[in-house]
Amino acid sequence: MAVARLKFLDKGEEELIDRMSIKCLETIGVKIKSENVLKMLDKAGAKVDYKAQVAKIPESMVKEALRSAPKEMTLHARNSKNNLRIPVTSWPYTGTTGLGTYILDLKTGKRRDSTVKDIADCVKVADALDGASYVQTSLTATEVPQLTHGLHELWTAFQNTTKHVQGIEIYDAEDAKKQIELGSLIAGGREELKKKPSFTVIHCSIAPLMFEHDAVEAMVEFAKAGVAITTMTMSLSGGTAPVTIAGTLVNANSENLASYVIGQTASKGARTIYCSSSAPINMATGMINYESANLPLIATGLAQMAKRYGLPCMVGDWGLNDSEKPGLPHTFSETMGIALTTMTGTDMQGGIGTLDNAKGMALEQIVIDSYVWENVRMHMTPFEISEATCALDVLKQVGHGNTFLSNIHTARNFKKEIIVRDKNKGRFEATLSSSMVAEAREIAAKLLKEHHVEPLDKSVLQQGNDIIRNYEKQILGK
Amino acid sequence: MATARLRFLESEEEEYVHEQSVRVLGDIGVLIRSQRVAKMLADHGANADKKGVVKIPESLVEEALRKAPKEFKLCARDPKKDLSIPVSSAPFIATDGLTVYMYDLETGKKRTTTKKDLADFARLSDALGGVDFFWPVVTAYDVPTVSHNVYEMWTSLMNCTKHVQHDSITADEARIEVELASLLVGGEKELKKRPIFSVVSCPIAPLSFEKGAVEAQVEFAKAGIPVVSMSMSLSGLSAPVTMAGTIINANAENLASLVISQVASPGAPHIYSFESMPIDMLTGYMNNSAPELPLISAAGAQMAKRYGRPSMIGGWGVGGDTPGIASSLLDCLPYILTTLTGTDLVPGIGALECAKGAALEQVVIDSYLWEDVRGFIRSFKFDDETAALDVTRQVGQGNSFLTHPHTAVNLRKELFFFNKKRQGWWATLSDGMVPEAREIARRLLAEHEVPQVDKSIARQGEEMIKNFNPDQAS
Repeated sequence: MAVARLKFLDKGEEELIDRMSIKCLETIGVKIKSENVLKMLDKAGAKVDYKAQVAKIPESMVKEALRSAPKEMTLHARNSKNNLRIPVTSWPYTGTTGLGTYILDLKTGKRRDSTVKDIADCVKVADALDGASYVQTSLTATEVPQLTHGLHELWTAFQNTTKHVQGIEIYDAEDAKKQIELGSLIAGGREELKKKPSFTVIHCSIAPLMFEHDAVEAMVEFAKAGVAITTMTMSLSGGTAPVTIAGTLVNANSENLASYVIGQTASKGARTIYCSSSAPINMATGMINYESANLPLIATGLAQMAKRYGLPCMVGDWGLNDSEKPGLPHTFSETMGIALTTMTGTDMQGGIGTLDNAKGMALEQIVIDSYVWENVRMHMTPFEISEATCALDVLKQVGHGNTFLSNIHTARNFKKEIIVRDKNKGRFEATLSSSMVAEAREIAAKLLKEHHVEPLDKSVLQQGNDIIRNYEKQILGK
Repeated sequence: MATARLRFLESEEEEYVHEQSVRVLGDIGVLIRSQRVAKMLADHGANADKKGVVKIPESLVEEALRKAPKEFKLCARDPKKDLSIPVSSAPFIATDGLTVYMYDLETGKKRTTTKKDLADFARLSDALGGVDFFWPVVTAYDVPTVSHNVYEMWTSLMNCTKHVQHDSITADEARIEVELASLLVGGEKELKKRPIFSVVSCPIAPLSFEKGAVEAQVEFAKAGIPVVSMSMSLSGLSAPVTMAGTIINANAENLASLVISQVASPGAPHIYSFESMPIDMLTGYMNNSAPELPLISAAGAQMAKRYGRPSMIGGWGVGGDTPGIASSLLDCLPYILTTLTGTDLVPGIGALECAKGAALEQVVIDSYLWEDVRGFIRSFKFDDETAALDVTRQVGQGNSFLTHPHTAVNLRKELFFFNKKRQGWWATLSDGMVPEAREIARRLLAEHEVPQVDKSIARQGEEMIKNFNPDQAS
């Protein structure tokens, strides 16, 4: 099948990035702030300097990890119709964003701290929209104990969607174990979770080349439990990575390879998704610049590297608003940069509903991002190129200089071959504008009111609530 | 160098398109409505019947692909503005051509166009950094109909020092155009070395070539003028509705056109070209914002690269029915995507209403926006230096590159900065940028000077056009 894909590197350049990444891991190494994980890697063949907390990873370990890592997988959902099979052959699966700390209230339009109820609303609206194929846990539950907010977020998401859930917050290894318990409840047991992972998690390395103690130990737990780990590098050109695109790609690729080594050493065959959210920094503010022209180029380079290794990947971004108000506030060249990251061959991407560099969210924005995405993804429709579709016999029948319009072949195939955009959604696509917000608000309110999400089984719900409550008692002494 | 490129076909699919195209040419053939050209092809091994259907054997296609130059220059009156193709980063962009009305810059009203209007478009395009070569944007209605093509070509060359590209529909026109351009470069031999104009020659899909255009093409091939074989294969109308069928029809027409040029004059410069897309099934018009447009274009660019042919594919220009950006984001996206296919040349700046109309304001808008879009299509060096492992080692795990000299030294080379002053122009479904574009157009028309052609040469050219009488000549 023919599918539109952006390409950036030629074969020689892919080769160079691979070679440099290996050199980087072998000679510079990664800093891992966990003695347990360092020991584990040491035993598996890495050269570890415990004082400096640096593990130098030999090429053989990388090769072995790439061999044992699964090349395809299914990300499960409560409703199996919503399962995600990766890698994709057409457009990527697109999810909501995570993990902001505020929401714009749908009624007042005012900004306020987000709560469990807001997470439930965001997830429910995303559940109703065709543009969202899975949900991230979306927002921070600010009213619950800080040490357990990740658990509340994951549990709330499970209750409000039958789509696949991607968790963002991992506090430490203990927290991970509790998340695994919750996931097992949804999957129907520990072994079932291993077979049918009901959620994935995002694990961020700290660029350049560093892994935090708690996060990396949590990652080991998830690997063992069979929960797919999305190993997100945030290599920011000029900030946390070299300013050159080549240097940024090497850093991002090296961190991903290191994550694969950690995951596969912890548990051979652990599900892992190659992931990046990398862009240059804005030189004026030092913040990540998602509107940069370099963004799609970096994403494309990394998608190519993932494909080269045969790994599923999440290197695209969708989410059209880095301002604090809903709408499409960016110019169309900036918006296009985001759209291009979706055409890289990435299998997944988050971002629906995001505001303000993922600091906040709005229900209206979920509707807008989802609607626009439904039109953008059509560019990645796969087409059959075969003797039948080539239609030489038709060409012969029609004859030189004549028309195909009245030929039966046209009538039979035009719905399959000609993509028709939803013109009604066109008015959602005014850049530098917030003209579509009022309509998006009405749609969000309607979906909240009318959309039904199959509730969790009562006993499962009870057990999950108990897991969180008991854990809170244990660590908070409540 | 790493450059972003949109891809649609896998290598086996490219191969398949080629095989099927060869079958089309060998089994179905092309209809050539010129006995002279059909005979020329038959003399070189093609199989022509009485109706003008010419079946072209694979050997002839392979020979043409071998003989055609893989790289050449589209020269300009000002040699600094010569364009070398193929490109390694962003394509060269041209204005759109031969629209039939414009919006008057002063009154804002729609009206027919004249030679003076064309001169204005040419001068404005000469001034703008986003325009690399020039198509005569508007039709000159104040000159004799029989010679309007010739007037338009000459007026363009007089008012623009960039490369000019247009079309020609008879062998006589072709000959006088070669003579006129020769005046400017100092003779026909010189013109062969420095073609300051090129021509678009459209086959009529499916698979036919009009008498005048194909005979003109032969003249241009002999004179060393680059010919762009623009296939307008419209899915469901002039080509099968399937993507595969559309791509094969367009590819086959391009190969046929290449054969014609190479048989007429081996080594003649030739440019592979698609302007192919589905039709709007409701109106029957070309659907310029169809999501398939970039897919068909990407396939075209891939086929051109496979053959090692320079290419001109897709279009750039965000104009709707009136100046501004009347389209939604998604209606604009297909155009942008076509510029990312690896095509070497792209026309379209300044057009309105599917190239029926034009506006000077729109030339400014499309040109300015292009200067930002091409930021996505830069080339990057990949080597030990840019991979910068030594820098990473110095910075150390978990630390910042911000203060490292490597960042300061490479910043401007590696990061593209959108023009912040023009951010407000990028509003889709809006005409908010039009007044400012109008002011810029006025100012450039008042201030920009195009170096004048030697007076005696200008006079000779005008005399030649006045005396041009195609009926007598043929």
